[in-house]
Parts: sequence; C-alpha cells; structure tokens
Amino acid sequence: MAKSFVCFQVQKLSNITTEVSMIKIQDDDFVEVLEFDQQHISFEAESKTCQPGHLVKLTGAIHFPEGPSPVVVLGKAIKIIPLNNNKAMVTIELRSLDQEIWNRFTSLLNERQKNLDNLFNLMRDAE
Amino acid sequence: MSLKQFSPEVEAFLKEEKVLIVEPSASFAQSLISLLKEAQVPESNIFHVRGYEEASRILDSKKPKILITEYAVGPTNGISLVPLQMKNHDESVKIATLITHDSNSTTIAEAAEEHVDAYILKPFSLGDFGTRLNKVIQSKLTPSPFEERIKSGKAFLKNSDFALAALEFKEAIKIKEKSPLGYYYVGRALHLQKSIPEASSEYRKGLQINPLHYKCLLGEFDSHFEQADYTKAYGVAKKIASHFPISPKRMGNIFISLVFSHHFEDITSYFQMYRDLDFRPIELTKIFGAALLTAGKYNLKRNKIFTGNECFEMGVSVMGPDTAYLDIIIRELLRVRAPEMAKAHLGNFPSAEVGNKIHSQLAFLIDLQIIGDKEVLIEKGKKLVFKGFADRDSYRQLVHYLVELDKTVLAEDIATKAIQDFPELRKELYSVISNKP
Repeated sequence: MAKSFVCFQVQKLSNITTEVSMIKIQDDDFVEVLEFDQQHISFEAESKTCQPGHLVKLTGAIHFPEGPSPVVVLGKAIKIIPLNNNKAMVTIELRSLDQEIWNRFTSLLNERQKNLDNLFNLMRDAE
Repeated sequence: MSLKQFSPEVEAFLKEEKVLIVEPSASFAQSLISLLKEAQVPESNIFHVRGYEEASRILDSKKPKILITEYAVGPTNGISLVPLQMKNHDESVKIATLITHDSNSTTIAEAAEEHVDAYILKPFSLGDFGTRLNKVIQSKLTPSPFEERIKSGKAFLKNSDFALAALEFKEAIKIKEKSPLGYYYVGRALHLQKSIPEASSEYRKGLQINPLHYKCLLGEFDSHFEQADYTKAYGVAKKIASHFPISPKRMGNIFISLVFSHHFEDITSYFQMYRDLDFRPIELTKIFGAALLTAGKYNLKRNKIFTGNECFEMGVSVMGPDTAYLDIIIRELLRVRAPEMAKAHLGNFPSAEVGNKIHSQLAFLIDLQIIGDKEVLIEKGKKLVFKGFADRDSYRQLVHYLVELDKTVLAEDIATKAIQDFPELRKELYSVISNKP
C-alpha cells in the first residue's frame, strides 16, 4: 500500500532494447519513488543488472488523491549507489513521459508542502 | 542532481558541526549524506542510525547540533528525540528537521510544539531539502534584532531569571509592536512565576493584535485550565481546534476541560482525532477513556440512553477489553434498565475471563432484567451464591424473589450467606424477609 496519497510507484524497470528486467521487483509489487526533481527520480530496489548509462523503460503508476494514473517512462540510469543487503539507490534521468501527469504530480507535492509550511510556520511563529 | 543550495556562511557553520540522521531507509540516508558532504560537513561528523535507541545514544555521546529525523523510528517517534537534543543545545541554536510521509494534523501539531524547525514531506527533491535546511540554519545564524531580544529573553527564562527575561521581551515589543509574540513571551515569563491572571492579560494583548495567534491561544487556554476555569478553557480550546491541529499532549487537557464544562456533544469529533493518532500515549488513552465514561453517564442521567451507550462504545474501543471499565458500563446501563445494551458490552469480556466472578455477577444482573421467569432466575442466583460469586445486588434481588415466591426458608438461608459476605446487608435483607406480604 502507498505510504501517502500522492506517490509514484515503480513496478518494472527494463533495458530499452532487450526488455530484460534490470531490477528485482516481485510481480504485483512495487517500489516507491523516494526522491525527485524536474528531470530525475530515485528509488531503492534490489540491484540486478542495471548500470549507469543504460537506457531504460520504467513502468509504474502515479497515485493521486482521486486514483492512480499508469505511467511509462523512457530514460537513462545515471546513478546506481550500492546499499547493503543487495539493494541499490537507482537514479533515472527522465527522457520521455506524460508531461501533464508529471507536472500534476510535482505541483501537487509542492502544493502539499507549501500548505504544510504555512500552517507549520503559523504554529511555530518562526521567530 | 543537486544544485548549490548552501550559502558560504552556512557552509562554514556546517564544516564545524555534527549531524545525526535518523532514517530507517538506507537510500534516503544515502541521499542526505551526499547532500551534507556537498555542503562541507566532514564525513566523520555525519552519523546515520535507523532507530530511536541508537539515536538517543548518539545524541547523548556526540551531541550533534543538527538532527534530521524520520517520524517513524521504532516504538516511539522521531519528534521525541528533539527534547533529548535540546538537553545539549538551546532551541535558538539547534536545528531539528523532520522528514516524513505523514501529513497527519496531530503530527504537525506535535512537531510545532516540540520545537521542530522544519517539517519536510516525503518524497522530496534533494535540492528543495537543501534550500530549506540552508534557510533554517541561516535564520539561526543571523537573527533579526527582534529575534535577538526574544532569544536573549528565552535564555533568561531558561535560567529562571524572570524579571530580566520580561525586560528583554518588552524590548522586543518596542522593536516590533505589531507582533503578538513579544506579548506571548511576557505572558510566559509571568506564567512561569505563577502570576496567572497577569500572564493571561498579556496573552490577550497578543490576541488583540492577532485573534488567532497560536501561542497566545495556547497560553490563554493553559491559564484558564490551571485556574480550573474549564468553561473558559474549553471556549479557547474550541477556537484552537477549529483553526489548528491538536497535539496528543494538548489533547488530554482539552478532554478534561470538555468533561468539566459538560460539552459532551463535541466528544465524537475528538474521538476521531484520537483514533487518527499514530502514537497514543497511555496517559492520553486513560484520560480519553475516563472522559467517554463520564460523557456516557452524563447522557444516561438525562435519559439519552442511546447517546450514552454510544459514548460507552467509543470508550470500549479506546480502552480495549478492560474488565473494570466494562463492569462500570454494564452496571450503569442496568441502572437505566438497558439490559440488551449491557449484554452487548458483556460480550466484550476477554475470553479468558468469561465465567469468572465479575463476568458471572454481571451476567446474572443482566438476566434479572431480561428473563421474566423468577424460578429460572432463582436457580441461576443459587448457582452464583454456591460458587461464591454473588455480589450485593445479586443477593438483594435473589432474596426479594425468594420472598415474593414465598420461599422464606431458602430466603433466610441466602440472607445468612449474604451477611457473611456483606455484613452491612443484615438490616436490609431481614427487613425484606420480615415484611413479606
């Protein structure tokens, strides 16, 4: 289950030409995008054969309050940081995706943070 | 993936400081570590742990001035690490940042009350995180003249130099007349000296400038509460609750003021608030359970039996299968002759306690109101007596029925047993037997 009601879930990451799976995610499972900016997303996955420089196809879903929207992203793996337990932090540079969905996702997250900041600052009375 | 977010001043500060990251996800921690390294924090000054216990040890031994913590860090939450950090660093110099998926309003309130400096929602952009961290550090490094006065006053407050603290806060008011914060702190200094009415007057000055100033509202609520003026306290509490989230710590006193000011009609909305909490302190559970019990009894007394029972049901869901709690509820419902509702609560007894003394007593008292056949009731009552489970009410009813059915010998026998267990019943039971029609 998603940890919050706005999130990006990655279900599959494959080599763009061979379609071979590049990270290990069980069927019907997903990993959540932990970090993003306008051109990149990062997530934690069990590392398999993914290497920086590989062109990749990512399949997943962006969850909005009203429901999920499926997304397919073409991009490039730019950073693979090995973590313990065979896991790795994978960063993908976004080359092609539904811009409208992506913009909605990022602006919704920014708006949530902005609303929280307003309330939080009001309560903290930032001195 | 990251931009240059840190000012030279902040980088110079970070070069000298220790940072504790409390984050169960290795990936998140890795990202934060790389950001901090870019910001010139020496790697040897960055500590990453996954849970609360290790974090509290690092706070104690390494005394980091910067704490970046996830909310969910084990059996307790990351916010509770901030007071531990503040044992070593004053609020004005420590940096505490909360990173979490959780935008629950009570978590926000708890963070605000526990002096968290920045609250950042996951997922986030590392660039944005850096910008926020830079902003928090920058504001602590270069406070405005107003902030300087407040900071200095708070240092006096910490040392219980109340008069000096008040002077500093009054100087702050001169710099920024239209800010309620200066009045809040003058009030706080008076409050700590137990000059509550005077403190209250300062909070009200702040509220005249901004009627929804959170800290002044809290000060006003605390003043009324401490003076046991629960009606006024609850009036302020309602205002706070309609504009701001409530922290678990504050919720307990709000329940108490609700109960003592008899605003039971509002209790369901607080019930929802309580249910939404990720962590429910035991003390708060006890207070809320007691508040719902009182609300239930209050409604029963006014013959609002359905509403009263609703409060009891909420109370049971708060307290869990607590037999002492269920015992009170069932007896209250029987007092207003609502045996079916009482029977439903009897079903909440833990299975291990079904058939024990209390359960048997309550079952019999319920039967007395449900079963019409007195012979059947007498048989059930006799079994209860022979097991040694009968209480005062069971003995009373049993003797009454026996006398009614003209079983005087058995009635005397049961009365004798009753008096052995409860000597104070002697007069009452013999009067029932001797006055038989």
